[in-house]
Amino acid sequence: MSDSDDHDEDHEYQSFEFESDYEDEYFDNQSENSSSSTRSHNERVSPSKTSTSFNEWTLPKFILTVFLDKYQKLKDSKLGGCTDDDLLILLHYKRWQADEVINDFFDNPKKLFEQAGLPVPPQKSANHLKSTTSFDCSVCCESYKQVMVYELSCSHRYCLFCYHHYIYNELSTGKLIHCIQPDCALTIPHGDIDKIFDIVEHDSSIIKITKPLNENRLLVASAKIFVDSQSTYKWCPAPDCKGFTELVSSATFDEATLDYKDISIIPIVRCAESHEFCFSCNYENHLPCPCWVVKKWIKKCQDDSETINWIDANTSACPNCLSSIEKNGGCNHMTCKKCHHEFCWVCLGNWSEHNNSYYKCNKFEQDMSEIEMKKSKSRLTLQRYLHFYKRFTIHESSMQGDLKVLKQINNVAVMYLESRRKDSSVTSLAWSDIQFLPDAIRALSNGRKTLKWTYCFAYYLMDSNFQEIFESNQDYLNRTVEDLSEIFEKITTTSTKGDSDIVKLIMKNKTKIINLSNTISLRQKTLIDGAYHNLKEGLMKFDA
Amino acid sequence: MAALPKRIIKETERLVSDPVPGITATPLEENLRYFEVTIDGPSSSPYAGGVFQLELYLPDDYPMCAPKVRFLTKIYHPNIDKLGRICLDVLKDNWSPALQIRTILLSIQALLGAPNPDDPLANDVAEDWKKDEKKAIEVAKEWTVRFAKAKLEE
Ligand SMILES: [Zn+2]
Ligand SMILES: [Zn+2]
Ligand SMILES: [Zn+2]
Ligand SMILES: [Zn+2]
Repeated sequence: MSDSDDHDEDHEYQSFEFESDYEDEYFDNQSENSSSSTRSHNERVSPSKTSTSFNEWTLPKFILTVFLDKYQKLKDSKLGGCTDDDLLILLHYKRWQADEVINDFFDNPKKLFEQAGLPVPPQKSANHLKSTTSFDCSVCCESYKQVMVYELSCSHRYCLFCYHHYIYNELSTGKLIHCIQPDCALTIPHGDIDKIFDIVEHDSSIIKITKPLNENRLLVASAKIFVDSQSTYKWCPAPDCKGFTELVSSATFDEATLDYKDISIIPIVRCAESHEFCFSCNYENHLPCPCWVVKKWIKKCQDDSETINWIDANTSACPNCLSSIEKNGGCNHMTCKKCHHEFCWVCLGNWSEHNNSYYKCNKFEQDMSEIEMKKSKSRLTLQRYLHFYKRFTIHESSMQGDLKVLKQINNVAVMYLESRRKDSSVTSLAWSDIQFLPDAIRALSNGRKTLKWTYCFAYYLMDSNFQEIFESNQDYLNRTVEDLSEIFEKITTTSTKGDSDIVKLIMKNKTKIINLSNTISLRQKTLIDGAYHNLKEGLMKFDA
Repeated sequence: MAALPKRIIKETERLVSDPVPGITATPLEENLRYFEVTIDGPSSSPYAGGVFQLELYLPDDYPMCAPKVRFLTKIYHPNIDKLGRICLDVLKDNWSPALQIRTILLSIQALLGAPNPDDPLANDVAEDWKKDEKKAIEVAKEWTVRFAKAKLEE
């Protein structure tokens, strides 16, 4: 990339030509939230009033806070003759109760050491990994000319390959691991476990600790078991996410006395990677739907999965020329490559009808035309279900499409910045300049998630006047989500000159992206708050 | 099937060349990880005179995990259930890769000599055992005659 490419980006806020009717609203929003522009991203998407509080955890953070903090304290208390390895083993043995370690140590140190599998009398720290020649390992029965072996102060020796395999199997229990010899109770220090893995898995004989202690394999395994066994902790359900959350307090959430009208008691929490989920059903944030509606809906979708298979077959062609359409990103504004017909992927209607006016494709219109009258009632019921189901799944798959596009954009921006940093020439972009991207990504995917669940919500809702308010809130959110999604998709499809072009387009659209993200969060909140109030006041009811 | 690990070959060789008294273990020709096993009842136990058939299988992860062993002959014992499954610590939590087929079979033979109704697998048998040990031992003897000797006399 040449230097001349990036001089004026900060000043050029020429946007794409998008039809937009939000400008007025932006100003309104800004006056409302002038206190903090990122307000909406730091809060969960939940009704304004919620009694749920929680802690976000990652395993390394948890190990540091819950396990190693006690280790540090114990080190300070200087128990005579104990090495650091010993202290960690004693704490692990006593399930991280430092008081118990101290009490038992002063009570009967010999007994405590024996129970925890430490040598009596205590030994100085020693290297237990050795390179040796002409060794017959009695576990694998191999005869080695030269091999690394592991032995504790008991002198029971086995080859490092056997130890690696053995520890690998034992790790899942999260408990202390002992010498292989059956009648030997000596415990393998935590640090040795990582050393053995590093040597065997990286095939090197140089011992170097590559992991910090809060990523130690045994401590990680132990923390996992701890989280699994506690009902106040739950793993984030997002795919590939390693975060977990501790519920500190929530409204009493008892199935039997569950107030079906109050969605503010739903314990929506967030993980360390900003995924929101329901602590009660361990499912993604499903607001505005109550948990019981979610359960009903998921069961219905499973039961009816075969009936609705035809949907896929019916949504893959242009409604004008019938040539097949491939959908790549998340945006639902489709343009047929062949006939240039612009249509909505969701309802297959003309896109121009969606743009400025009412986003009609949300509403299930019970069209009582002559043809419809002829249809049986059950057909209508199925059609109603399919209407909502289709929109529910389309937002789900659009979310995947969005994420694909956004990941690409984010990667390009980050790579670009890195390359600029290495380059000594003047940089016109700083990290803070693209901080809005992750925020926008979050806003878009959270917005889609809420949107998705509004269709489940609407399916179970009884007809009422307030339904219209809900639907118009849904429309507002829908439009903003699609507009932001479209900006991102256009950035990747219209940039012809590679990465520098993408970065240029991102910066050109920065204001628009930030404004749309904020609008999404605001509209999402309006929708959920509205649902909360109307349900609570009994103005909207579910058809259970 | 993957090549047999050296460990299994060595153990099999030794079982043949240096057999344990009162125990036989023969691998199947078509599956060298599957052994047909017999254990003689210990002389001072209600199982004396009986020859018990078992099956032993070495899982893929052997010796990192324990062999799978099961009685095929019906036996009245508080730590062995109707399906022949054995409640023995070294077959579960206390397994160590340094243990061997022969040590496991010796442990099983020892279990026949010293039933432990306080750590039962077959609950009803353990109950009978604790309620009336004398009677339970009689039943165990009876079963030994009926199921573990019949084969010999055939
Ligand atoms: Zn040892
Ligand atoms: Zn070995
Ligand atoms: Zn997560
Ligand atoms: Zn829930």
